[in-house]
Amino acid sequence: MNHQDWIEKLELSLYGELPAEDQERLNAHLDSCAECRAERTSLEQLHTLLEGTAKEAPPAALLMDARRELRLSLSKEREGSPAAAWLQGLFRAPSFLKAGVAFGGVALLAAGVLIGTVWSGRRVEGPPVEAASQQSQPVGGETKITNIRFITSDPSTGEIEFAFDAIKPVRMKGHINDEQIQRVLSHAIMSEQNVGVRLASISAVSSTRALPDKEIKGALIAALESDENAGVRAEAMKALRGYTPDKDIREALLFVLTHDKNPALRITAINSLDSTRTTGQVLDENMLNILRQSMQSDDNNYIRLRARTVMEEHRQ
Amino acid sequence: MSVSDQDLIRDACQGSASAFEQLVTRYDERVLAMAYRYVGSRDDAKDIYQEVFVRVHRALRNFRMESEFATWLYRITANVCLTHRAAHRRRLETTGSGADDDVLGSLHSTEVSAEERMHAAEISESVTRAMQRLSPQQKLVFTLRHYQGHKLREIASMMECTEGTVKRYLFAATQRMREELKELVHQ
Repeated sequence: MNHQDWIEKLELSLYGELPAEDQERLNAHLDSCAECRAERTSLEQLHTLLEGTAKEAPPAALLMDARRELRLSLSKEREGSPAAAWLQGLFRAPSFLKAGVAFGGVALLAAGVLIGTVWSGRRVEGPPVEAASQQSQPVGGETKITNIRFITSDPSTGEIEFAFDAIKPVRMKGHINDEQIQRVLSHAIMSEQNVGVRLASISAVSSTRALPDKEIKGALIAALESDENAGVRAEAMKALRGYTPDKDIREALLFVLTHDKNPALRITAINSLDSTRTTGQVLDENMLNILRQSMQSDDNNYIRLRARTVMEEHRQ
Repeated sequence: MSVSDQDLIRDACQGSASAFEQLVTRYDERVLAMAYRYVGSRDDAKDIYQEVFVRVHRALRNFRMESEFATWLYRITANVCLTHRAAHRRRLETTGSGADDDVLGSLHSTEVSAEERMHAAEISESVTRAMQRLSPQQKLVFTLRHYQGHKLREIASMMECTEGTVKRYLFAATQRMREELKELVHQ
């Protein structure tokens, strides 16, 4: 075994990756080789030096930023992919409508839903191309065809392939706690272009006796953190009061406190955070750091004072 | 009892955004930490994070349940880190710096003297600079082994190569780091 082999074993040994048998041989070699002992010292010094930088975790705010941006990207993806599987399932399961109307309190939604790519020939990630002769859903009636894209044509066989978007108005009726209704509401809260529809969807959640739902909660948090409209963000924060203030909600409130440009929303966020504390929720170190930051650097006097009060009350 | 990864994956494939989000929050701190340590910059780490989970979201339907989700996820992260190099280089050329101030941020928040802080910051900057001189594969192996604490066989699985190859990258990375940091090592 040459010197380089021993150095490699030394390195594996420092990482705890050297098998016991090799470790014994290495120990015996080190007893007799001054050069390898010097190497070990040098490697240990390197590890000690690197150890000092090893504990640098990404800042908490970076994680929150990354999550927020991801939510935005995914909601855009979902928006661009209206024929998502759940929606396909929705239209292939007419029994849902029958079940929905049987309940007393109902929410009524009318939605124009893109279902075109169910039929279109997306080659990469979408469903397989369907032959026209196999097309079971007729295109017609109220369905509007737009954005026709020609893909291939073969004059020798007369075959032609194209894709299009088919927009069909859909009317849904069901209880606010119905899973399908909640999915449509979540979709509307996160992806609907029209501010009024986003607001109406959130109001539907907060004003009815909706049971807490994870999907809706996620959509509300996404709206609170990333909706461009302050009114929608405020309404989302209000709706979240109906949920038990768990870690996700507290993180969202902290996000508003540190990132939202609207002082009124930051004030509501800090008040909501304070009220989560009075319900027995513990403020962890990350939250205290963010409050400390607000106490020191928020440009709004009230928020600085409020953050100080919350911190002081927490210490007691 | 917490919901299994498999259940979350199944729900996410059926269109549940919240199931996907739960899956993300179960692993994303580790993905971000890996990316952050690999690129040493806040913006690049966020780019990698984003790319990883968008890819996961798109490919989740193709995920075969016989392997661990975490292994699959870290494999994607490793791939994204390796292919991120070109974009990162372009950023380096335009900004003239390998790491932004954020990589040192946590040091600033600790209660140590200004002198100690400055010294720690110098070390951290030198380490980051030295890491930028490693090849992408060396840097990835070094990050995964040294900072993330993965075993060599796990790294081999993530990088889809043999353990011997991983060892070679690690040895080469360590030698290079020793050379780059020799003045600090022998202080």
